[in-house]
Amino acid sequence: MHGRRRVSASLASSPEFLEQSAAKAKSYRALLGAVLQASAAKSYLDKQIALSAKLCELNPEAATSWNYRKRATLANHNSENTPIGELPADLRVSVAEAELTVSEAALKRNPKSYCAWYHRRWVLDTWIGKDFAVKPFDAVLERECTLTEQFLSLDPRNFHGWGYRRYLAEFVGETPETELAFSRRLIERDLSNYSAWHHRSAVLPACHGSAAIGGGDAESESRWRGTMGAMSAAATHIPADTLLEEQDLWFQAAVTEPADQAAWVYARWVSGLGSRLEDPEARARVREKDVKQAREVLALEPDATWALVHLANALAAPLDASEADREEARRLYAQLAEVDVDRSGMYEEWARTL
Amino acid sequence: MASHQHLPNVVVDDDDDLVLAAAGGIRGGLMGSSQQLGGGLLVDLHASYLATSASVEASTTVFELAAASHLRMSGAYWGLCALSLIRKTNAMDINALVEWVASCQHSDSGGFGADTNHDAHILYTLSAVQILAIVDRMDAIDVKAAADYVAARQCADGSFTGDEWGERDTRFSYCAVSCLALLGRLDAIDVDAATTHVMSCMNFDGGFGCVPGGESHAGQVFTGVGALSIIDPQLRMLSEAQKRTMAAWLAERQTSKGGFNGRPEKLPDVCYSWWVLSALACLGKLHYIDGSKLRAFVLGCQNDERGGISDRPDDEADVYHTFFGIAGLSLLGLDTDVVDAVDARFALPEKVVERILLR
Repeated sequence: MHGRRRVSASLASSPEFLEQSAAKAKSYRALLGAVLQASAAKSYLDKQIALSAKLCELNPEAATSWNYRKRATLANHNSENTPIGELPADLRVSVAEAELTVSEAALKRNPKSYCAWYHRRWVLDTWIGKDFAVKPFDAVLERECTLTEQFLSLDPRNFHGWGYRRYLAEFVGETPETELAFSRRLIERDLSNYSAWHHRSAVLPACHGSAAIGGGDAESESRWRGTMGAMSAAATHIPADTLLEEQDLWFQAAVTEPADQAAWVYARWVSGLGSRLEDPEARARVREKDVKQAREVLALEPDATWALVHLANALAAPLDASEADREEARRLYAQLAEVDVDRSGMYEEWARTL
Repeated sequence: MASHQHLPNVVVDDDDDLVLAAAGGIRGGLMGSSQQLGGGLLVDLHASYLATSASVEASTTVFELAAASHLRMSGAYWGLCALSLIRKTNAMDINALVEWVASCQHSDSGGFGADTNHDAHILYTLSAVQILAIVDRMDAIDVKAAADYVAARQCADGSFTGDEWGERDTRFSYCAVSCLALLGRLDAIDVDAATTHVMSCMNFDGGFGCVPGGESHAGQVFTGVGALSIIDPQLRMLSEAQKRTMAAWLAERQTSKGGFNGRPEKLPDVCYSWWVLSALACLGKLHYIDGSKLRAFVLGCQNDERGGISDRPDDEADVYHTFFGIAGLSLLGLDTDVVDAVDARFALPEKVVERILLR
């Protein structure tokens, strides 16, 4: 486990310590054994299902216990294998809520449990599906949005929480503009929130491509998916004016905390998009702003590593660098090899291949 | 660096483990005082720590190990592979291990559970195959059924599910590609579709996320670039610009403490010694970081009384970090007198991969 403080050798070998550990192991094994046995026997009695809830809460990564619960919902509430949409709405809501409650308890113990987060998706996909917008299903979705916000405020870097948020956004056909605004809100709350910068990079292309995220129809869903991931072709179609605005955003962060990596990684991406613009004049505007802003940060902190890297890379842009630019970039890489000595091998290589 | 690094006595939950919960450490006082102090890798202590962690007795009487039953197959792979790298597999009962691995294969699906009676999953199917690869005992299982199980996980878009319940993740793409390559059955899947899917998970920073749009983290970057490297060691599906962005992001994971973090503005952790270095090795860019500083960080996370390596100095050791620490040292190549070479793509001893791929 992570962050568990080391126990001294004398304590670890004391009889009390060993006995306590053995007793806990025994009780855990008894619980696990009971759930595995029920699972193997395909037996879904209330008391067995309750034991699996206990196990999921105690160890949110016990995958077989979650699988058992999924099977139990289907065996107990849909043994005829009816299309779920034809089952009574109240039943569907109550099954979903019971499972979401177990998952929530598990996430409180381990907010980064893959199994517990995925259980929520499975429940929504299987038991709610496309009916999420109508009563009584809308309340379930409402709860999911609230829960996601809660987990992201507890830990704004929890990538599982972010992933679930993107899933919900797709599920309900949220617009990318909403998500873009959300990313801005979180960035402004904490300029160092790399997850929020990432989110911005994932939704910005969609704001300049497809109109909606998901929306339930297969075509728009695939368009949204197609624009997810900034290296996709759509990403290169972001207009220069937008890139210039994004440069304002990263500058605000970089000038506040030049040593923080988050905004600089975003800056690198925006810069790369600028360097791929077809119009040379538009390309120059983005590049000149990159150079100007990096120099402004360096005026405040002459050895700011990430500003040096950004300036050197902007100057070295293959399509537009003059010989003087390349010369300055080489000098900057040489300076970097000294101020950021751990990565000197990288800077030396970049200088060599310029 | 993140401000919380400067706050003493605050336990920051910073675990972004790729395979989640590490198999727990031995808490029994089994070892005498260290016989190998002096700054190097405590090979004998780690060997006895790993062998004891793998024992059936410990798995029933040590709480952390009992509670790790849901990933025991991976724990066995980490332990065995670490022992193999430090040339101490004789500390383990290999026949018993092989018998137990075989008992975890499901006769209906062909996949492996993490332990007997646990459901099959692609994560543990890969771990089982890795174990059998190390000990050269693939004959102990139904190879065709295992390959069929993995191939059946591929979806129309090229992605892979972990099991029948449908979770998709680039971790599972890696598991599938690695597992099938070890079984000599890459032909069982649509490799081009698998490639396209992994590429669709590439992000603005050059890294990979679990799914399209998912944030990069170093473990996930390894699964992406590792899968792509198995498919094409030259990585011709990546442009030079993509490789450069990815390598720079990976190199920037090295913190001032020498250790690597998994994402920007996070704490360093021994396991990223492996995830970051192996990805850099796939890209041919190991010279982008300071290897001796990383080595010092890993060695500083050893428990010099009871063996094992932890995530950070003075934390409790576990099998997961012990393996990834040793594997990271192996890639650095600064301890070749006590650590064998590891293959960056397969996370297996180089000699094992050579034996299998040349067959």
